[in-house]
Amino acid sequence: MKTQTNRLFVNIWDNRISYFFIAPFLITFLLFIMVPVLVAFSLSFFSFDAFSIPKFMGMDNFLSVFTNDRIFLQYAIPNTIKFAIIVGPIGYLLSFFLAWLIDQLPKGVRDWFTLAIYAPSLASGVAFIVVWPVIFSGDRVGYMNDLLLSLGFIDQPKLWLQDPENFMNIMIGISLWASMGVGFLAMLAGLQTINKEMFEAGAIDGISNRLQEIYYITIPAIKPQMLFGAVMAIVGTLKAGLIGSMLSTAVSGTPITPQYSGHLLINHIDDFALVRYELGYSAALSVILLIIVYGATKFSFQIFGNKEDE
Amino acid sequence: MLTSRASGLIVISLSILLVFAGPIHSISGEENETAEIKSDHQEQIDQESRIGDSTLPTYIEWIAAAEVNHADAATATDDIVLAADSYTAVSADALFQTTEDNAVLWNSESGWIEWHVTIPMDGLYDIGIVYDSANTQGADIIRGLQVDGVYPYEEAQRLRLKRSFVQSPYPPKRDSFGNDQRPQSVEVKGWKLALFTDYDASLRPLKWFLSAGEHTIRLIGESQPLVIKEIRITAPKPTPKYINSENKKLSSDKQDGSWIQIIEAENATMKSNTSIQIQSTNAALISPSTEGYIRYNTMGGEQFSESGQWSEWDFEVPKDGVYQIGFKYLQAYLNNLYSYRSITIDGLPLFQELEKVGFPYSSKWDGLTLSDESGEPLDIYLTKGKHTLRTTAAAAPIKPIYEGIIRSMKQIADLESSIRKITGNFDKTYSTGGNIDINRDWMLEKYIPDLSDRINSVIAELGEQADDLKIISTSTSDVENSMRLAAEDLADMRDHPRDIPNELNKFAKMRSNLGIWLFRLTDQPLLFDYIWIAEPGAELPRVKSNFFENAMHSLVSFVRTFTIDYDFRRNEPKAIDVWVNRARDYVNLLQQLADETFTAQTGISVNVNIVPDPQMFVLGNAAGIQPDVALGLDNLMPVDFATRGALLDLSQFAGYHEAAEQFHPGALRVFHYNEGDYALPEIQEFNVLIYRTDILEALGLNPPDTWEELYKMLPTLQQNGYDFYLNPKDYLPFLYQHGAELYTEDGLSSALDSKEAYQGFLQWSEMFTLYQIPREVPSFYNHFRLGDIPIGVCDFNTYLQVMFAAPELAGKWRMAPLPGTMDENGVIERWAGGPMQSGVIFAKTEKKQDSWEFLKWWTSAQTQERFGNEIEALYGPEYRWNTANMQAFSKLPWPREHLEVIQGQKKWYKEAPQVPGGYLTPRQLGFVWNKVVLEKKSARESFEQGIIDINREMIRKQIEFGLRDKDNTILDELDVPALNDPWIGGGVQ
Repeated sequence: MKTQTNRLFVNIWDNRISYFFIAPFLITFLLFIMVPVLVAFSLSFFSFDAFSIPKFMGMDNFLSVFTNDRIFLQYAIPNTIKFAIIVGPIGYLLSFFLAWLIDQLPKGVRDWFTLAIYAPSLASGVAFIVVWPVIFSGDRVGYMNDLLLSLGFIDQPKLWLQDPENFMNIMIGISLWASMGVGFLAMLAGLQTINKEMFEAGAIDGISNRLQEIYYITIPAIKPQMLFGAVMAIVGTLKAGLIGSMLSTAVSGTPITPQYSGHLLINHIDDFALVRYELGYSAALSVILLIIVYGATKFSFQIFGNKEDE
Repeated sequence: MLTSRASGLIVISLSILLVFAGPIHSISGEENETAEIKSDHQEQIDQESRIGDSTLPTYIEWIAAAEVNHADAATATDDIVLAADSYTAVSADALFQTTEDNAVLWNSESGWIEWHVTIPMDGLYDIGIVYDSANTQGADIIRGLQVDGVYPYEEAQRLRLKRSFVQSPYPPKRDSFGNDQRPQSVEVKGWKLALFTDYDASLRPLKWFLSAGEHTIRLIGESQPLVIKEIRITAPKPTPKYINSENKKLSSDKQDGSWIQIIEAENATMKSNTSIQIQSTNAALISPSTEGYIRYNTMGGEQFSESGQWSEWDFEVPKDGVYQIGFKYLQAYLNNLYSYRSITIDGLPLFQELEKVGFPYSSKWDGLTLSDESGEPLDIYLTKGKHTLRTTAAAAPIKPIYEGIIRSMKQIADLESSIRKITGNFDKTYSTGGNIDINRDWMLEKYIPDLSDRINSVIAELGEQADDLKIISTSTSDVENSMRLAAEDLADMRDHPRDIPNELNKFAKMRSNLGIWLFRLTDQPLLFDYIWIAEPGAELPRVKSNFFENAMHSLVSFVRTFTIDYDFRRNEPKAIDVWVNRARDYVNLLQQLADETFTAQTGISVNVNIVPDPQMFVLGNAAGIQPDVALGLDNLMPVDFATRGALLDLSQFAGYHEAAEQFHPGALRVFHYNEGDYALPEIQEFNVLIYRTDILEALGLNPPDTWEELYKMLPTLQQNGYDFYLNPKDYLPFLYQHGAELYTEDGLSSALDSKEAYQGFLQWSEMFTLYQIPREVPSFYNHFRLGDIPIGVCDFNTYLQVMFAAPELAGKWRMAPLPGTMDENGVIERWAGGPMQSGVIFAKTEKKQDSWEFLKWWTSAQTQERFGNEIEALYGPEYRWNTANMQAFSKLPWPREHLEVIQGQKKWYKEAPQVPGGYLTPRQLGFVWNKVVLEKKSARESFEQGIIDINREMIRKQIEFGLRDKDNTILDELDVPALNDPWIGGGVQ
């Protein structure tokens, strides 16, 4: 046993240069990811209100998440699933499609289109507060209302951001608009690395149209980037939640979306942590979210992962 | 292969364009920002023209006619001086007192006073006044002036008299971090002579026509009291034109062209308004450099922009002779336009060139030497010794354009309405302008024979104005563009008259494009760094920095981030720690006041620090970092913290009851929980009704005193295209005015299940269903300015905006108490709430008594009054301190009329008490409102469902706090303070 640990240290010392190089990442990862995750995990077994001493609760938090929390079961989970299913895959397909489209463009204009499509994901925070509430403003001077009124589709202004019927759809629309992030860039970069001779070879072997090209050459060639994009898309959509509360705050001053229509898991966590001061309970919710994210990531590895890598 | 590939490319690029044309379009910022204002305009152009359409001419119109018929009175005429106490009549004797030195103290904002005067000969005269202010409130004194009982022109209704302020102490004191502390503006008393002038209308004093013989001159109270010593009637003195050669002659032989003096702009001797402030500007070549700290080194900016505001600098010249004067300034505010200043030296506008000095647009610091038309610097003759240079903001050069735009907008509106009368279509909703049958042709030329002439005259006028504007801009300005665009659109209409009925809303669009520029067109912002006075030929300081200086400046600033701790956190070990959730301006003043009075009196020192985010109190607590005292907490936080044992119960301290008596019980109940009181309010907002007098008078309406009266006036309002504003999310007035409460007396369940609560809820929701009050209004202030929502319930912020950010509304709006509900005794109950900020003491503090002393000191009437007055003296009236201390509130510089209304309303203040789980009440009521108003669901059913949800959450929370056990048995009851009668103490001075 002792010799084994000794050997480990010797081994580490021998490869000290490599460890030195990964040290910055490793330290920050441990400090800012691993430690908080572990703390959250242990906090989820306590009842903690930010002021008094935490009280051990065992599995009570998890039990009441699944048995008592009507809002979690009735709104947070269905909303998150709906949001993730639409925004995740569609956003993902869209970023692949757009990356592919842009790749077809001549080099000169390509960068401009890339920038135009990538920019929303950078600007989204500001845009949530400044742009979208103006567009979906509820009086007749809001952009959307003004347009629809003048086209005659509606005859009195709609309160877009207060009406639960529209709220989720608006959230989804905006998220799609802002979803061309790193995943999109990675796929674009991947597309540009494909060996052009493959297409010629493919043409000789009988590929007759673009779709076949995509299916037989492009996708297999950029599988790693597709995986990266998929993981980013899944994590991104499950983590989303800011947008609903921001839109709602802009309109009605409260971060809770109208009738919980845009209430996602993250909003639920915020609600319990920052309004109800039930930090233990919200830690339990975060753990559940973490498990869901982990499961979904595994799933995408199943689809895109290279068999040899595993 | 190649061609197919290429065509494929085109298709793809096109499809990308198609997909993204929308989103890309919508990112462009400008468009979105202007969106709101732009379309805001479409609705109320009629009001716009109505405002310009008052029966009185503007001064520009009046003087144009008057100068044709009458000449200025001969300069030789002696000034006619009327001693103030020789008045012949006053509105009410009680308002006026004669003082020892034969002056008249007019200690009121209302009433009038009249003098008789005999004029020797016909002519245009200037009228002046020797006056002083009668209080220290800082706002301009405003009076109307009638000659023989009539206002000759619009401007005569509101003549502004300025006060004089000095900055004290100057040079500014430094705080413990080495930053400058903003000096106060202290008013200088003393007689001031001013000829009535409106720098919006004319650069010279206003002229009044007086024929030979007897006349009466009457001053009418508008705003602020004053003391009058004399009224003077003088012949206008013409200002000479600068003649180069004549002044050159005056230059003295002793001048060798080496003397130059730089006067730092921040060292102004005197200024007219407290809002003209010195600034700390960080830039290369700025004088003096900030060295990375807050160093006041410039003056003016956006707040030095209103016509008539002035600032003065004293300087001394070494010998008799001619001098040149120049400025280093920044005018990055008015795109491609000039910001105008009228310059006098020792009170005289020496040359016409000095009456109107335009500072051209420049995005960077620039220099300007006072010059004649050809660009030659003016040689100004000055005697040896002290002189005073005054710059007055003046919008007069741009005013004709302003009036021209209003005129054009009115003409366009007239045009539209005469066409609508023909086509019988008044709907403004659709893009076709509401024309139902777009295939019908109208022979407009037949019905309106002069149609094309009328359009032509508008086009011609717009063109003329655009040309005029071109002359006074540095290059094409935004305003000019929109005028030319409107002219083009009109020309298109003239050429295709048959299309006009189908595009009627083009008119609205045109007017809104023009109107968008109106609000800020007369602002004249300007920032000064320094002024130099030099003998001709002296070497002048360089004002523009070059690339290397800029780069060096950036580099040095960057290095300073390592050498200076910009946190400015104060950390004296023995002091009590006070965390304040407010901006630095407030925090600095609080620290200063605490050092000056609190620490001096009690020996307890205080560290005041900023907490940018209130969540920090929670997170800091979890991490074991917390202050002794926290200020600036909202309504919810004190009880949220208290229920978890984080706060001290203030009622245990001696002197709590005396301290609490200064506040409204309707405010204190928010901080009461389970027999403890956990916070004292600092500021407390109010809801009042504000209304546009001009619009309501035109409609023949009076502000409603009860909701019933509102229902009666709504049809008239709405039929005329106006609306009423009510915050859609504020349910408190309706619930409380019906006698309902939010929670039962034991605080354990919702009391919304009462009959009264349901009635209140019904009334609240019917406002937005049955009575069609707008359900979402992003900015009531903007709509109020524009006039399409001329009446509504406003909060404190809107009040400040209307009061201080909308000069064009001055005198056109008034305030009334919130509409109420008549109870069975005939009393109108006006219950309403309003957000507060409060101060608390944390339970873990080791300095309990010291902390309480501090909190008591801070919320005392004396401190609150001083703080409120000083923050305004420092930063201007926009920083009005809305103190919750009822006694201090009345001592702040509110206009008397407003103070009476607000105090009357404040008696009826009642906020929601806080109980565990109470946060669900506003949330659920919001949901229920949504269901009933938007989804049109049954009110009763939705309301009851909401109550069930509230109760469920309350029980859950009660179990958490040990008020119930897990089997729902009640273990402990709370006490929610009841409040049934309005405060008696309110309104007492």
